[in-house]
Amino acid sequence: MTLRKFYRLLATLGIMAVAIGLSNRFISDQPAAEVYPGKSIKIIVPFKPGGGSDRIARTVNAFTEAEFGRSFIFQYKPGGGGHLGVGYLSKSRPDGYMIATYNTPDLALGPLTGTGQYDLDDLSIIGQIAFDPNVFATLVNSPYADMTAFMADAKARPGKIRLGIAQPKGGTHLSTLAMLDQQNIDVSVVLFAGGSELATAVLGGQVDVGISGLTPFLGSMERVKFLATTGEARHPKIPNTKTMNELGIPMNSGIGRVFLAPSGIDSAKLERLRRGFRKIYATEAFKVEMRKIGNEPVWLDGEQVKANLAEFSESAARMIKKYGL
Amino acid sequence: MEQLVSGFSDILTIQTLLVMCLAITGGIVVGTLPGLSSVMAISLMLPIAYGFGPVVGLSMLGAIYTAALYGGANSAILLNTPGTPSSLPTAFDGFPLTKKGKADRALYGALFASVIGGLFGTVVLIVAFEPLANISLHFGPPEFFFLSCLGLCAVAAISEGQVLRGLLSACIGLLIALIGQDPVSGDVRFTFGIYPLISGVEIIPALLGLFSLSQAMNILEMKTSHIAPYKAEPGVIGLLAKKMGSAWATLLRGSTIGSVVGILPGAGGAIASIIAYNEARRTSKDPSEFGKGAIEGVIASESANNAQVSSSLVPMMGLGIPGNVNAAVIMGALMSFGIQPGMGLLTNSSDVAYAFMASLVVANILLLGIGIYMVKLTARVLLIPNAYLGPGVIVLCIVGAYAAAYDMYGVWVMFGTGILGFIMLKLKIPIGPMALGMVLGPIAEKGLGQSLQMAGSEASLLQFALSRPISLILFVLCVLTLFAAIYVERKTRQAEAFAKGNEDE
Repeated sequence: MTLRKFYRLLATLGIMAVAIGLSNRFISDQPAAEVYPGKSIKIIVPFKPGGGSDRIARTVNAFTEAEFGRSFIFQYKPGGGGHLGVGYLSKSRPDGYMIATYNTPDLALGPLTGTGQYDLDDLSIIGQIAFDPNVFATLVNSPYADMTAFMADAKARPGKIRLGIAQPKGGTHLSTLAMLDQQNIDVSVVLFAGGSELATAVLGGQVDVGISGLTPFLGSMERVKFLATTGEARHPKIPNTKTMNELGIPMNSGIGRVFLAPSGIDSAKLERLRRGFRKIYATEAFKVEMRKIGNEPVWLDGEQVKANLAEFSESAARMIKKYGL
Repeated sequence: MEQLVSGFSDILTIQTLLVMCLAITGGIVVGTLPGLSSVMAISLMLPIAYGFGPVVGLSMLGAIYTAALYGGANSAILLNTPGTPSSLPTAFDGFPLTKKGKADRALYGALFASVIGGLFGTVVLIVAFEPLANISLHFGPPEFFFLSCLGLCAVAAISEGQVLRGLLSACIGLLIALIGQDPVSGDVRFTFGIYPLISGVEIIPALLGLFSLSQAMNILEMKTSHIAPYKAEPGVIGLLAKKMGSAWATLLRGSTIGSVVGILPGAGGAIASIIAYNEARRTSKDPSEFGKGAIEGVIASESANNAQVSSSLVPMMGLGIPGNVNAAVIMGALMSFGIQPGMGLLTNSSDVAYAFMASLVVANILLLGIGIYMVKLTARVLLIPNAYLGPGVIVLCIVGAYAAAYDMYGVWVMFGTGILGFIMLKLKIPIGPMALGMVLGPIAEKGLGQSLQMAGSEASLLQFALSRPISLILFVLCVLTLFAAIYVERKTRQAEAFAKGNEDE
């Protein structure tokens, strides 16, 4: 090949590339009154695959094709207790094609503890699709008949009882500290990375009592008993266990499963997402699937979630200061 | 037994076997390519598994898991680039064998050992997953601390002849492992203001850099045209089949260690294979051969590595608590099929449970057949001239590092650790101990932190330590490992001095 021929080839290729680029532009510009969503939405799961958030998002995803025309594309961005992935979302292009799943009240804790590089105002909340109250779990042969017995023993022997808590600096950690503080109880707190690790520790007797969500215990229900649940109503899976509120100890902690978009998202697109998620939530089949994986579907509108988070932030800030977290 | 037989009859259908064959082929490829992990493959295939229904879907996921963990051995042997932490010790002897032109031996050895270890672990799973799950509960934070210490002691032991360099390397690894969030308190430390470091130095990109990128630079620097001479060795399969017979003790030990460590949630395959490797070396008639191309090293590491695949499912199936990320994803699939893993599994869904366990047996047998064929292809990597191989590996490194977290951050980690690895290579500081330090450091730290929190409710720390027999045993094993290492080193020195004395005469 002579040099001239080579240049000619290059020029042809260049023109072709420009042409393809332009035609692409025209094609993508054409639906100006764009149908949203016109392509697959990417969803960030800010944890390793296989966790609770992943399972819930995948359950939702079984219904997204019917609702949005296409399934979600999953991206796992673990780190910083999930705050890394949320921070990534808050900085992504708000074109409606990038959303994320995460938990409340941890969402409010990222900005407070400095583990999250985002502000609540950087995010639009689509809605909460499920709520998992916390449970206080202990071995079935534990000396504690109920929560009152545990609290009495903890008061009688300060520092001698081990209480396991899942997720350091997480929502459950702070709510539990607040409760212990308010009840004037001194226990040895042992922190575990997540629900699975905590459940293993409770079953192995490494801690006397543990607090986390119910799902990690679903495979070993015969071996544990639940002293109390948090949340406003009793847990449908363990209807005989009293709530903390019933015992006169106000504690509404729990994990809300929420979906987020960056705050700059076009309001019509946000509305579309909210409508879609709410519709999925309302499907009976979805509720059946959610209960299969052990989660209770509870809807909350995005604005409501945001108001709750603002309220939580105030009390959490006090706890963080008090315990130097 | 009857249920197991019906489990096999569920699996042995054309459709299931076909899906499993594809899954195993894909799994081997994913495992072989540095940077692509079994977790990635399994979660990518989840939607397809849902479409198939429980039996076929779970067989597919189990087959990918089995094959991908074996596949890691290929790159460790051929290019000295272990893609997963658990195949680290495979490279210690696998790559020297390749250098000697005996790649075939190492590759088939790894395959046979993987299959035998895999079958061993699966039998353990089938026979006793319920009681074993309960035994795993006796391992609390203090036991995990000493178990990871045992792994770290093995590091000192394997760096024979260059103990100081080995320790230096392990310490660098431990220091890097400190970057990020404190595993117990959640405090952020040593991130130097670089926000993504909050999640620590990601292990997959770091391994890619340390081993693969540094090796690629090394390949490009080589004066030879190929990384190692390679000629297919006729009759190698028969030779190795015989070898498996004579190395039965190593296989048994490796498989047992792999199964035991696999059962413990969160311990990870790296601990299993490094302890198995060290045990093989310690009990060998000629420990000085280890690190220079002893096939027993490959066999020990790989049998342990694959024995822990099935046994890592024990806590998930017995208690509903996943022991690692792979098990977590498979558990998610089970739950989506309406099956709650855990204590009620055998009463409520024994058919699917037995079919799944039967499929793991079948997967290992299929792995043998497909693996023999694939080895012939993968070994051809050695026929690629260095001028192409080096850049090819670099491309794979970048893709793998990016895919680990869908972020450029992984690529920067990979480049950073790659340059560090290259410098260490030049200074003749072994990289293996550093990688093990990075993998074991967080487990040890978390175990220690939680143990201290637990001891808060006891009168004294000593009382707490003495109240736990398993951790005392592990502590004694740590001490023994260190003394054994010193003893072995003395012995080899004496032997060397003796040999030298003979030469002088």
